[in-house]
Amino acid sequence: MQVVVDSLMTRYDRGGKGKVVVLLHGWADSAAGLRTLGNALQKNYDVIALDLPGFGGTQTPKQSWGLDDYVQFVQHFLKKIDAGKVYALIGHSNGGAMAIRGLADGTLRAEKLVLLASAGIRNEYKGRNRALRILAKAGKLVTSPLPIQIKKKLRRKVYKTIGSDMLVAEHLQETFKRVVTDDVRADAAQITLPALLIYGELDEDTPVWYGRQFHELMTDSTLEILPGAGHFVHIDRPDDVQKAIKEFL
Amino acid sequence: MLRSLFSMYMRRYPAILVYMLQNTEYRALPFLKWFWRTNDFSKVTYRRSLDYTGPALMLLWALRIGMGLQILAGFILLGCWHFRGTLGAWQFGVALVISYPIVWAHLVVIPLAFGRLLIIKPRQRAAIARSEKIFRDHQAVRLAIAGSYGKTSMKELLLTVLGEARDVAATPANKNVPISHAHFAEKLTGQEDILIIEYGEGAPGDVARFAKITHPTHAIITGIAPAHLDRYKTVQRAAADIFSVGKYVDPSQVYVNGESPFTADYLKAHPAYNAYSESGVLGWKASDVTVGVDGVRFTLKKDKKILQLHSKLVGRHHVGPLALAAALADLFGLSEKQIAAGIAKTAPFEHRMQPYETAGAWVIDDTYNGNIEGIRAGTRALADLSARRKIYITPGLVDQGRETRRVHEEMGRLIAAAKPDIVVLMQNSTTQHILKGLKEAGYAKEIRLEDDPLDFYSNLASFVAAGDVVLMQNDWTDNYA
Amino acid sequence: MKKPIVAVVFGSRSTEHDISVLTALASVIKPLELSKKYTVLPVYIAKTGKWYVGDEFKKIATFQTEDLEDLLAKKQPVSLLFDNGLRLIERGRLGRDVIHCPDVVFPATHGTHGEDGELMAICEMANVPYVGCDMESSVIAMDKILAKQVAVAHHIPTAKFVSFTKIAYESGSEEWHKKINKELRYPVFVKPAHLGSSIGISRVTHKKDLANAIEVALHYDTSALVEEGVENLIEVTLPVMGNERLHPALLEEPLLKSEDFFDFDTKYMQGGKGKGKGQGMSGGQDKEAQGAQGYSRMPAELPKGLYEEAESIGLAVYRALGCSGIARIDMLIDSKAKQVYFNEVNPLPGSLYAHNWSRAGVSTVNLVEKLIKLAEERFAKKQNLTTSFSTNYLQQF
Repeated sequence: MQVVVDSLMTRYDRGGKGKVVVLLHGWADSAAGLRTLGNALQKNYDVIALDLPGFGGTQTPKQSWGLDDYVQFVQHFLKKIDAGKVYALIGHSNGGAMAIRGLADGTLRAEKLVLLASAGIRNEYKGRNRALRILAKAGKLVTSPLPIQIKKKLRRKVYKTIGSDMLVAEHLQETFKRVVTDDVRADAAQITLPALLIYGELDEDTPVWYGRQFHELMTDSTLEILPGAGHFVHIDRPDDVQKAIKEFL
Repeated sequence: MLRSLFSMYMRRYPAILVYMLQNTEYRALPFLKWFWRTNDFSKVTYRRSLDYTGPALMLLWALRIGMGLQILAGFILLGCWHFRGTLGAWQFGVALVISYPIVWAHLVVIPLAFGRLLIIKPRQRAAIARSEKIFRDHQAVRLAIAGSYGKTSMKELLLTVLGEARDVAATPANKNVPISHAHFAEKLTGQEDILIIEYGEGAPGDVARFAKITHPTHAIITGIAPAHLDRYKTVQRAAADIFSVGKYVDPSQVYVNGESPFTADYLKAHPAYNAYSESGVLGWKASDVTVGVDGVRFTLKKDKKILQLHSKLVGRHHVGPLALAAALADLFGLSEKQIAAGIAKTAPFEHRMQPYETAGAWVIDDTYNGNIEGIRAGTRALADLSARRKIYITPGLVDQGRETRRVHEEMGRLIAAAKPDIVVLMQNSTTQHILKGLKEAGYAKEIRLEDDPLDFYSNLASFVAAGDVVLMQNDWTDNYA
Repeated sequence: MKKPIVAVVFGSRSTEHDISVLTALASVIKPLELSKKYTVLPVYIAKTGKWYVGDEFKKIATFQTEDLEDLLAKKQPVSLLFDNGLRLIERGRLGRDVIHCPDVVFPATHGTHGEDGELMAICEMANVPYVGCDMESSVIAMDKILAKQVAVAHHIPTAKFVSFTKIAYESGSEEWHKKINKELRYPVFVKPAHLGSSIGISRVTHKKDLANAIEVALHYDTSALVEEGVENLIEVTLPVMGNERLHPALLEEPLLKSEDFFDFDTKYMQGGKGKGKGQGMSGGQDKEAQGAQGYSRMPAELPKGLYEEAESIGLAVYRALGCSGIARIDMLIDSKAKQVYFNEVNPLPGSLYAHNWSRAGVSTVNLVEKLIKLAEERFAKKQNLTTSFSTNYLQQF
């Protein structure tokens, strides 16, 4: 289904009956990534899953956005589709960071929070990131006289080798830089509602210690670590994740 | 030209030689003939490739090692010339290095010839002698099938129909020479009711020799056509050989295809022989023949017996053989119901008037067909079928020797008689003759000439649509590319 | 004899760019080459809108690599001249230009900037014969409102609808909502007037969701329509070929298994109780699914009378809109009321619906040959019309 929110054509899914559960996907993913989970929850809940701006079937914002802009957008979206009272927010990776920020500053409201391999701890890679940033700047300078086509190709190659997420959403470079530098640990500390944190044991993008830190910061949280699962816990261990969420909700 | 010359030096070359050996059943003469006929070896395995069996692998490695040694010897000689100045060594060296493909293509034949002469032949002779006794003592009806074409079809037909109620054994597919008859005999239980033995003639005297070993009680002659003319020289001599089986059988138990050319004289000379044809056999009268892509339907009547028959075989030309199978089944005591059931089970073999559907059209695949009688039967079937559009596709016939011209002009006339809307010819040396035949017969509709058969066949679905009937006859095997 | 040159134009700035590449390569260029009667000139319009020619565009592999962009960057786009037929000028080395003069243009684009009449307009301007619907009928067919209005004027049944421009709607949305709620029965479908695929189409079951759905449609287009949903829905489509004498192919019923669609989406797009897909999904989606014959029934299994009625309505629509060459007419059938409604026309059906034509007795090769013949016939007829006048109006002053 589609709806226009803040002049952006927005694609979303909604199905099922019951209390409202909103799914927020991660960077470079879309609602489709959470489909299996969404379908499972539809049996007991009114599930809403949207493609966030720049991803899936939703338009890309004209300016670069930060985490706060995304949170605002989610709020406007829920209002526009007349979502009603939100019972639970489920956020994966960057969607988790969004949920934490939104709940902490009151933009979003919910009774329960589920974080799947949530991101939001940003400065630990400082050394590597800074080195990369300097390298990137230097690279830009050196390659500036080259034709744009070759530059594009080179850049793609470089990003591929360092495994950057920038590659998967090239059109959102500036937004990406802003979003991933935004730390939500201070926000997490303000969260008092019941929260379920699920992390994959083998996750390298948002390692288990992210979960431990959030767990310490929040007042009423449960941390589950799934052995053998990676960053996409809900895809690697769908049954375990669904079971844990159903019990928690 | 240069490219074809270089094809002998490809890495694949030894495998190509073994492939050629395999496809000539490891016989030296046909292999060498093929070898000298081939210009470009890279094209030999264009469509099929070597089947890596034990003997093939052994030969392949022998070839590789032999060739390697020769090249090595060549280089050693070159070395001698270079470092020691051995007189004449460089000429020999170069000759060795250059000649290895041709030398080993011939050397490879030697072990084959010796093995055949010293080991295989005596063993085979013993086995054949044993089989002669088995056949002679067997209580079963022994049906010999001889002819230039249609033997295998007839054999399978009888096996299917008679097998409905009798214990029937038949020589396996295309195993039709004494040594394979001998293997067949060894596997018999002795309890069979009927034995069907196919005679694969190849040279004068063959059929009589087969008959002396297998002691037939009944004989079927499926037809005479120019085939194996390399040994028989004339059709008449081939016919004489095939008909020699009649001398070993009660003449009233000889059944001859009355629709085949070259059989009329024999039928006239031997009034006791039974002719079978579209109109019937042994007093059975065939009528009400209808031909469709789902097969042929007809009625057989004799005295008060009436059989309504339907076979999945496509074409009117099957009525004669089907009638014979039904008549023999009746003779051997099958009930009317059993006969009808047996006939209903007869169906085309792969690539022999075998219909299949593509893009809504019916394609009749007759690509294993390789002689003018098959062309006659197929084109007649095409004429009989009703269709929105009829399309005929062929590359022509192979191995027609001096008859090539005559046979293909005849073929052109037969195609024209089927009145196809489109004739597709794969361009080659026979095309001109087919075109001449078509023209003589006044064919005026569309003719397409294709120079890439593979491309055309793989895109066939783009050319046809529902309501079309397509007849594809004969495939240009890579053996003769 | 020199073979006529057929320029196959495809790609273009459209959401259906990729489908157009498939149509052109598999259903136009390949059979044209198999026929051996024509020289094919592939004309590829990139997503940037630049035109290119070259034999590399005959190969699907060209479009499957990441290097397409690099290839295009290296290649010179062609420029067009409209005198003496269409001329495509390829800038060559050392100032030696290569000039291509196609004898016939074969449009193989889908959706915007091509199928919608724009490409046909260029052909008209250049006075070159071209395959398929002419400019006027393409424009009408690709405008759902215009097409329905033409159908209504010809007394062809079509689902009840209300249409408006963006300006009219924004100056009084409440009035429009009232009108819709009064005249139409829910569920309704809200559609942008143009766009060949399901983009921007919503199914609305309750009037509270109407405003959002209209906003979505008007986000894509300057006009939109709201249409009553057909109950007991059977969807059928009929490919038709011809200029004056029309030749229908088989009435085809698209069948889509629910697992082929996202669970969420099917639930909302399906018209009836799991009976095929909703009417909103016709158009572009079909182009993707068709060809795989498991997805459709040919001919559609309808009672004889209903089949004939659908066929005659399809032909009537083709005539009413002034189609020529080829087109595909989508219809909706209320299986209980036995009523056939015209839904929309595809002036350039994906893959030309070759799978259907071959079932209807027209081979893929024959199809393109016939279409070119139809194009030439229409062109010849048009040349006979008087289009220039001997008197010079300006000289009278």
